[in-house]
Order: sequence, then C-alpha cells, then structure tokens
Amino acid sequence: MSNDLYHEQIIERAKRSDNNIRLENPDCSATVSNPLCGDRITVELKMEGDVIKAISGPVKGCVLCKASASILAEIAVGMKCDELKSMASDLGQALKSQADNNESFPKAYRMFYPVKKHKSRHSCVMLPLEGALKAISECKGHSGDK
Amino acid sequence: MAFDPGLAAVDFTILRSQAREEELHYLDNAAMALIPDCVINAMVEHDTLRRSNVKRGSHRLAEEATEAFEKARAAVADYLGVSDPDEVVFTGGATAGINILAHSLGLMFERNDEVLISQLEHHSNIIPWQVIQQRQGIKVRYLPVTPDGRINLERAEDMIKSRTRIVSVTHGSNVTGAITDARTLSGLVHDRGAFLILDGAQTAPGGPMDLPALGADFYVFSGHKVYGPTGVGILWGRKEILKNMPPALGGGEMIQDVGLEKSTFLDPPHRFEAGTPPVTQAIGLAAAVKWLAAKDVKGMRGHLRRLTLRIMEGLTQLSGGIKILGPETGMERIPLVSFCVEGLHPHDICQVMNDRHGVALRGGFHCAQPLHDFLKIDGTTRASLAIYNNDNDVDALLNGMEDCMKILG
Repeated sequence: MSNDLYHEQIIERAKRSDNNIRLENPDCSATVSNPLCGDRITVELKMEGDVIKAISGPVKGCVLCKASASILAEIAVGMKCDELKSMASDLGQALKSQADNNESFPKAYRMFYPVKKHKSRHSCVMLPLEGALKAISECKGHSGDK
Repeated sequence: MAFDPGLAAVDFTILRSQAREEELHYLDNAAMALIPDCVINAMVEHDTLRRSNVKRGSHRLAEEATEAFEKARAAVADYLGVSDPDEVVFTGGATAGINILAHSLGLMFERNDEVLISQLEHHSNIIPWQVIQQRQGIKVRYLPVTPDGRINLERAEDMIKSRTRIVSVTHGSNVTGAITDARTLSGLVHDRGAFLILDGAQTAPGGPMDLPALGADFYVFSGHKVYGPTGVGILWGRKEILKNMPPALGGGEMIQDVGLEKSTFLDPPHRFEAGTPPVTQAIGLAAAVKWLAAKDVKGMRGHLRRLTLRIMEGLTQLSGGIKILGPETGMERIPLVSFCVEGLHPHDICQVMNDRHGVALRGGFHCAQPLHDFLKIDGTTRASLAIYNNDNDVDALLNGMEDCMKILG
C-alpha cells in the first residue's frame, strides 16, 4: 500500500461514497463536528436490540472523513454496539501506536495507515465512529455502555 | 530597482536549501511568519549574557536585563511611530492584549453598556467580549460585513449608540484580507465618546507605521506574525486612557504598595504587566521590528501587492469553480488570499499541496467561524505572503492547485 496520505484507495473510496442518504424514522441519531476544519457528520441508526440494522446520514467532510464514513456504513450493519465500540477504540489506538506496520488497524481501516503520522488528521478518520457511538449512547434502551 | 525578496530570504536558515531535505514554499505567514536568524541570535545572546529578571534586582545582570527590556519597548514604540514608550505594554500576544482590554475596560462598564465588534473578527476579538457580556450583562453587537468581506462602515454611524463604550475591530482581516478604514471609523467612534480598539495582528507585519494617524485608542498585535518569537505581543494604548484603567491581572511587578486590605498600582505600562514579563521574547520582538524596518519596506509592500494580484488572477484562471473571498483585484488588501474550490475540502487541498508540492497553506475557519457562517461557506484555503516570498512560491501555488484539482476533483 502507498504511504502517501491521499493514496488512490482512499480517494476512490471517498469519491464513491454516497453521503446524503437519510434513514426514514431512525431509532437514534447524533451530529458531531470538528470545529477546527468544519467537518460535520450526522449519523442515523436503526437498531434491533443491541444490533445495528441500518446506518446512514449526511457527511460534510474531507476525503479522509468521507472515506472513513463510507467504510463504516459498509461494515457497521449487523454489528453489536460493543463490537463497534471496541473497533473504534482499536482504530484510535492504532492511529496513535508506534508500530511501523498496519497490523494493529482493524482490517477494514488498514488503508488509513499513512494517516498515523499526521496527528492533526486522526480526528478526520475518527469522526464518523464518534458520531455512531454518540448516536448509540442516545438510543433508548440500548446497552452500549454495559 | 525592483525589490529582491532573496535579500530577505538569506536571513532565514529555514529558507536556505541546505537546512531542509524538502522543498518549502511557505505561504502560511498570516498564522505565523518565519523567524530570521538575527532574532534568534538576539534572544540567545540575551539569555547567554544578560539573563535575569527585570525591574526588581540591583545586581549587574538585573540592571542590564532591565535596560535591554526597556530598550525593546522603545524599539517597538519607534516601529509604531509613537513618541512615548510608556504607551507600549508587553503582553503574551494579540489575544492577550484584547483580553487585558476587555477585562480592564469591562470593570468600568455599567450594565447594558455596549461593545460593538464585527462579523469579520477573529475569535480572539469575539470571545473576550462575550465573556464580559456573560459576566457583567453588557451587550455585544456586531457590525455587518459587506458581500466582499469588508466591515460595512456605512452601518457604523447608526450602530454606534450613546451606550456604546467600545468599538473593537480588525484592522486587516485574516480571512478576506480587507483593510478597515480606521481613520473614518475613529471619527464616528469618537463623536459618540467611545474608544476604538484595532486588532493589528495582520497589519503590523506591513512595516513601520504611523499609529497615531490611524486615530485608534488601542492597537494590539503579536510578535510571531512580525518575524518575532511566540509568546509576546503588544498592547498600545493612549496614555491618558491607560492611566485611568484598572489592572486586568494582578501580581508582582505591577504594584506600588501592597497591603492586606488594599494595594496601589504602578503607572502604565507596568500596571498591565503583572508577573515576570516575556523578557527574552521582548528582546526578540525588538530585534524583529528593527530588522524589518531596515529593509526596503516600500519595495516590499509593492512586491507583495504584485504577488497577491498574481495569486488572485492565477486562481481565477483555473477552471473548477474557485471563489476568492475579499475585495476585488485593485482594491486595497493585506497580502493574503482565501478561496473556496467547489466540491473540495480545504484540508484536502492543504494536504495535497504540502505532500506533492511543498506548499504550506492554511485551511479551515481561520478562527473566524461567524464570518464563515455569514458567508455560508464551510471553510476556506488561505495563502498568505511575507517579505521572503517570491514568484516561484506563487508558481508553486498555482501549478499545485491545478494538480490538486485534478487529483481531488
């Protein structure tokens, strides 16, 4: 994989993401933003107990943010809240780690390995996950914090 | 003879190619200018030979440090074109200067007094007044901005009321580059008996000035934008106002007599310099303004105007929907250009421009979120110039933007 921050895989992923699909009657939603650059994401979820059944929402962000949101939309369906929480934690740790390979990254997010050395851009990758976790925490009846 | 930016660039180790492995076109000067070697050397020399606290010791080092500190104050007064160095207060930066003013003048406000700022302001000239608003029940009102990013002075006459105590505005916008007509505004402000504060963070780097001619009552700026160090700035104020203002911060070095119930304070500027001041940084700031004043400042201004115009025209010619903020070409502006590219995020542009072209830009809100909200834009990319920038830097910017739009578009 290229060590360029904006390598083809990330750019293509961002370009093909559809960032404006809204869910009808979501069970919960949350909006998160990065005041530094103006990125803003609304994450809408449909839940069945602790399991995410659908995820969507508008993304106004940079390439990294859009690509990250696109991956999340693809892999979150069917995940339990705790699994998502754990994956977000792993990704956050991997971005901060000193390792010189991408093995500590959750598999779906390994394309973001070059972001590791750009500390100011970590929040761009994390924002969609933070939005999803915030939406879960605001979802009545979930047990995401158990 | 044409101005040669190379004669300034040689004074910066960071700009000499052997100091770096990668190409650098530094166009983020509105955030922080680079620092010439002579400024670093002045600070090293001071701390090596004269390091001591100021105003409180009688030993040789203390005397020498105090003398150097006060000479630095005089050098800044010269740069500003003011005759009395006691009107020059050393602060931590422009933000600290405005906070000192807000907290000191705020103590003199009555409930429902008004402070008038503008939608063009940097957060550093918004938040301090909002803090005072919440604490003391004053009102903060906003002068509107014209579509081309200038403070709408036509509205100022109506908006400055009898309860307006302070009008505090940018002298030059860090986003749109628009320069405020301070002279006209000061007439309106003084007619109503209010004070005018100018945030000079972006205009102070323009070279030595005739500050009294602007008609302001206060002017603040930061060292790090005038080729000086971080952690130091200046609050200039008219002495007859400063001497009637209460201190904003208390501590050592600003007192005359301290009792358990009551204390008295020194005259300005010391009244506003509580605690140990940024001595070394003040020495550095003085070295910086002296270095700049010794350059061909008139030539520099013309050179930067020409480069600014090249950027504006060059960006306009690129296809892809680039919108440039601020006054049109031909109108006066400080040497910076902020722009939006349809469909592209400023952070993506900045990253690609850095990684592929060695061009250092700034993207985002530039600490001016209300302005971006007013203009209904999600952020801008900004190129800002300084004395060492040349046509190669502009070429790199324009060529890089063309490439950037192909990659990200």
